[in-house]
Amino acid sequence: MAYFIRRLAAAVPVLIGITFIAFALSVASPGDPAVELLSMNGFSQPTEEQIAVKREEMGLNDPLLAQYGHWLSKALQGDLGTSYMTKESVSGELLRRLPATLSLSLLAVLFAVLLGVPSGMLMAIRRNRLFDHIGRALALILVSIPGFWLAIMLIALWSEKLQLLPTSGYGTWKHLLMPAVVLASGTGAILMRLTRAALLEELNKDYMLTARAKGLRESFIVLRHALRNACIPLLTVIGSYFGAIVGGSVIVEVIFAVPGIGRFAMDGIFRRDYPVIQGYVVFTGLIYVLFNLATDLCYGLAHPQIRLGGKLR
Amino acid sequence: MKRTQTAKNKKRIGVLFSLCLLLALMGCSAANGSNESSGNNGLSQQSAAPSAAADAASEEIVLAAPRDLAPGPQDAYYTSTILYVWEPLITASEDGKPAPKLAEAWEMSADGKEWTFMLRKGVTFHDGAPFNADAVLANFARYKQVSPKSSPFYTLDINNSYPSLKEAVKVDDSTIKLIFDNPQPTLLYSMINFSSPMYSPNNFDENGDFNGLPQGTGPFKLVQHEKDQFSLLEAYDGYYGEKAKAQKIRVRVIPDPDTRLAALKSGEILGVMDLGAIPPALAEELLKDDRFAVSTAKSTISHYLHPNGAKAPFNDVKMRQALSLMIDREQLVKELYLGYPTATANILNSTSPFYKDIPAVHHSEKAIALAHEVLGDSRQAVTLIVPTYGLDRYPYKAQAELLQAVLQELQLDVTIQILDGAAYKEAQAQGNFDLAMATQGLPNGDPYTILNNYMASEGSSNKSYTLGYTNARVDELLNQVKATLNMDDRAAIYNELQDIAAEELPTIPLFNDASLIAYNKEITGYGALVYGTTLPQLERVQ
Amino acid sequence: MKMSYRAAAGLLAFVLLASLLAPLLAPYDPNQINMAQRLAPLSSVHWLGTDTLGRDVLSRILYGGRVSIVLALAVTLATMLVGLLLGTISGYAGGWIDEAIQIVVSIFQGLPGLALMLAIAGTLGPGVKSLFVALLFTSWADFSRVVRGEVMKIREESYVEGTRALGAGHVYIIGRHMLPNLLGPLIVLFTIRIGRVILSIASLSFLGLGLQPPAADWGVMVNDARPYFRSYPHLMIAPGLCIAAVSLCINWLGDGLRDKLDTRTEKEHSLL
Repeated sequence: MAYFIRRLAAAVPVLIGITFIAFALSVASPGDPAVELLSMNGFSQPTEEQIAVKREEMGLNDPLLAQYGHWLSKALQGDLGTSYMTKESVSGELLRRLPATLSLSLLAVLFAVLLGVPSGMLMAIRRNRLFDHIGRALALILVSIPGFWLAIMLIALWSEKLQLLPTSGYGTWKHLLMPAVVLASGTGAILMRLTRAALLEELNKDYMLTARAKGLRESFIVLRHALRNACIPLLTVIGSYFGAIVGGSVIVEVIFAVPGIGRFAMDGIFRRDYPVIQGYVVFTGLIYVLFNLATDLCYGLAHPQIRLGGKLR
Repeated sequence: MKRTQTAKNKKRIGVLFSLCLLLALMGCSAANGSNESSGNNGLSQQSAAPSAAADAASEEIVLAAPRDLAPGPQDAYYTSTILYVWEPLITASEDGKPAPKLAEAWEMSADGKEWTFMLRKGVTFHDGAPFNADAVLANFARYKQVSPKSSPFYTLDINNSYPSLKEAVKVDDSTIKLIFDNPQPTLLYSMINFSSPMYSPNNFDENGDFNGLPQGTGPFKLVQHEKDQFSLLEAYDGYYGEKAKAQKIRVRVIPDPDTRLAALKSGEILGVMDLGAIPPALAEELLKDDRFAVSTAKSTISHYLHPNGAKAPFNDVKMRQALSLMIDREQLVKELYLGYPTATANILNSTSPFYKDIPAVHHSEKAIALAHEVLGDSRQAVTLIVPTYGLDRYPYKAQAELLQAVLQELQLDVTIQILDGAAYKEAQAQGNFDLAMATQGLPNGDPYTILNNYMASEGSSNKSYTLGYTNARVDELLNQVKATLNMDDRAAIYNELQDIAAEELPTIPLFNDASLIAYNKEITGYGALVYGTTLPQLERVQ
Repeated sequence: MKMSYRAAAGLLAFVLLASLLAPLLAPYDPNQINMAQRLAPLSSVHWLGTDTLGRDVLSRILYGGRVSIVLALAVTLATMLVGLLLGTISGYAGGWIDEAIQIVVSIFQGLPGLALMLAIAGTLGPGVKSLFVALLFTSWADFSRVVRGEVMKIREESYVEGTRALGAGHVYIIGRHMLPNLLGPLIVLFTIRIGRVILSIASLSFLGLGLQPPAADWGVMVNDARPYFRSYPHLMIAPGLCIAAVSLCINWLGDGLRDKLDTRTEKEHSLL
């Protein structure tokens, strides 16, 4: 228990670090939010005085640390501020978009795990047989396909030709299928290969040979022992890819017109909308921290001795 | 011991896994739930479309746009004018001249300081409130309260549209008067569309933001809006003019051009709208299928190549002329834009009624000679910057590569830099570039703003794009035009300015864009306009 | 099985060689624009047709391969070195060192890649250099976490504890036990990553922040072909196949290598 409290405590500097670096990066990127705001329509051109007034009004002339401190103190009270551009509450907007992003990501991870883990296991057990070869080839193909290409092809097939799935939008499970498959394809393939590799390694170990010598059925051994040991790299990868899917599905969200967090964040980044960028970073940061904790929890379950952590040294 | 431990672990992992599964399902069902409330989706529609032709008239028509045309209650306008929800006092005819909308007639006093507007009678807002002088004054009060208010369409700025406005007064129930400190001969131009929107006086909160859906006077009501997903329009029964033909129109947001094309082809949407509705290359692709048609009109967007006139080599007018002569605009338009836009050498957009036709001249030999005069035998490295937002809407990458190849012959070695919008603006402002690919929209038919911004020594575009252009004669003309009340005299000055611009090239005009839309032939009456479409005339083919 | 590895190696060598010898092999200047020949079909003059500016697709593929392969290899190697170093230290040392490194790792993992890349492209200027830095910054952390997980697992193995009890030094333990055991998963990750990097470069270029035109790698070519894929599928298929083929070969070889190394580690196990 103490271990997890310590892990939780370690999350605080992580979140602060993430938000600070994100803030510093935003400020360091070329471009000026005041100019962006004043020239939002693409053809009015603000004068220097207008920009100066706006900058002062937006507090952009304060020192970097003061600006960050101001943001942080507000954020600690649960106020993520309002968007420079739309004047709408950042946390409200994030929450409004959360269901789309989350349902998409969870479905994608589910697809990836359902594709990757069982077939990876089967490939390891049936090593060098037909299933293994097909599986490996499939994984390689999936991992080599650009996501946007797969997306276009899926739309061309399922929407244009067969007219079975909607091209884009959000609302029913049918809308989620294609984007989730696109998001899952790469991750699923990686999981397939990783599961296979990790299991093979375990299967070749001494205790496995002993177990086999004892005459236990092979599939039983696989499930009982090998998977337990093989799950560390798997969990790590699933955890980090979930984060990547939640935070990084911009291209998929754009192609499939999913009103998710990625698009919101991209607009924020392109327009130097600092409160939006910060809000987004807090969100992805929290997802990371939560998933890391969950992964640690699983480590602990799979390898109880790890919970003792650093004390060994 | 070991055995029970692993069994327990396995169980826990199982529980964890099923938890994840549950979460995923919850996510899905939540998504399903939210759909019930949003009523409809592309799929159920599209499967219903072929079978139920009989009640086609009452069925909603789905269109798509690249961006959300209704940014929402915090926006200056809530929706773009092209959804026909609200109407302005003054609109523009297709030739760019001011035309009556909610103001039926007007009168300027002899000194140009007082404008009287006669309002259309018998008009009601969507919420039932009457449109009258009080409503207009309430809107002017809001302009004053919120100006300047940013918007992705036009910045709402009363000081810009109504410079030196002293007061707005009610004369009678259907007449108002605007009183200015200085003469405003071109007021009508600056009042067009986004500068004189009218909403129900009950539609604003204490900050001048919208307190709900927008209540305009247009042929369509906005009845539902899901940000970044769709706007649902319904014909307004109480509309004073010709009522909208379609009962319901849903405008979806589909940002990706390929997806929009696929949605057209699958029958999920019946048409596209807004800037960049369909890139030319995809329009060509779509037209191979004879279920579809495109419609074009002139556009207020012009494309330019902005030179950095503050440093060599483009501070030399000869070099800018060489550039202009070297670029084969006709070829560019024909090959990369499939001939929809119009090549021009005029800085002013062709939708302005003051536009002077200045044909583009392509003369490589002359251009090469001019460049040689400036550069001697040496070659010059130059940087061409390209904004990322241009890449989605236009074939900007190919255009940059084409320019790069063409300019080689002018002894220019071009490096292309693609920058995101904000970085691009900063590079322009700081002069960290030699050439910039750029677009400019014409805010209204009166060219003063554009010409002043680009050509005056202190013009805002001239400064912030580092065009480095100065000409005393131009400054004098621009000052003169401000005080000129007679429209013919103004036109003469504008003509001279356009000629100077074509000669001295503060920026190098390339072409006037075309407003291009595509639709399924199942609908009719849908056509492109200079700004927007003929949405109210749109209906299903019976 | 051996045959297929040889075939994969052969194909990879062929592609590499063709790319390296691009200046000799390419029939045209890859950036030579010819508007009269736009979107030409496959022919004896242009084996793979021409693109939207009339440039020879075959020549562009040959030149593009250099960028794709070299950049992907360089980025992946750099990523792996950084990840391996920090992951091993973190996993092996444990304690506060581990926690400190993990905080840094988490920060880098938690930062949105797009924001990071925009800032880097902004400060270094868009191009190969910022591409390299951005990809390194956004992917080393994942690598190091996998390495750390493996190291922690190996550290608890009885034979490592045995060696330690016998008084072996850290460097010896890391070099002798950790690294060989890490090779398997690392090679898998490495080979997967190369393919992903080629795709990442493409998606960054999609946002306009990667390679600057007219330079093109295969991913960029696939991307540029998007509007034309219905009528001119070869524009997308040709570079797409190249990506797939190279990625396939690298991965296949990686598998073979892994299997080979696996038997070696097995032997070592039995020696202990």
